[in-house]
Amino acid sequence: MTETTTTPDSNDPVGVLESDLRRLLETAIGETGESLAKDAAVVASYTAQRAAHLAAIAGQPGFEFAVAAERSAVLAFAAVRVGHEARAIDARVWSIVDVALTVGARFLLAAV
Amino acid sequence: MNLAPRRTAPFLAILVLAACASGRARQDVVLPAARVIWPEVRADVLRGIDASGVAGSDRHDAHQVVILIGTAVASGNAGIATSALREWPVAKGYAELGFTHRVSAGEIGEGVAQSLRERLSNFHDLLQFLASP
Repeated sequence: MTETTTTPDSNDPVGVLESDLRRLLETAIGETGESLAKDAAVVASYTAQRAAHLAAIAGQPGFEFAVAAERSAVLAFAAVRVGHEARAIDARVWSIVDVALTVGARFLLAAV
Repeated sequence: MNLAPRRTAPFLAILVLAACASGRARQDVVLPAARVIWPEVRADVLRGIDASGVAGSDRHDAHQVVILIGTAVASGNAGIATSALREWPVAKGYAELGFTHRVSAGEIGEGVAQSLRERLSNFHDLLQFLASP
């Protein structure tokens, strides 16, 4: 099965804009996917590290306090990663919107 | 020239909707996590205040810091979180004192204290995130 790609007509500025936006969006989605996968790996690694610490201190007085603290530490760690990733997604998307608006404004000016 | 806004509008609409990710993450992930963890951290700070033996206006000031952080977490307001972050070293100091005291008393082991410090440190990161707009 061959994938058909359409090359926008250079005389169709909206088509070019649409094509550029699609390309930028695909790049942003790709970057976001890679970044999310990296975040998931970092959180998994951190969780394993904290679990190893718990295993090492099993039997210490107040061990139950450590279990509760580690659970919360992992939750906080993951939440902060999610927050930072969401900010990165916003930054990527807004840069695309910025490009789209700038290009759109040029088209509008040219049309006047 | 045919600008055909009908063709580009859906793209922009998708982009703008997607650009709400950080607001949603803050509201739905970071803030709830801070609200779950704060009572545990608060208990650590209060134990430290008690262990320090601080009294009078210093004790009052220490409790005011606890109230400020609690307000920041309850409201999710970035301005209040910034103020709370400024006072964080005070809360952290008392919590650390409490851990040391508990280890000395044999209530918890040093490894357990490390876990409590880890939670304290990660809660600070949550507060820092809430403080940034």
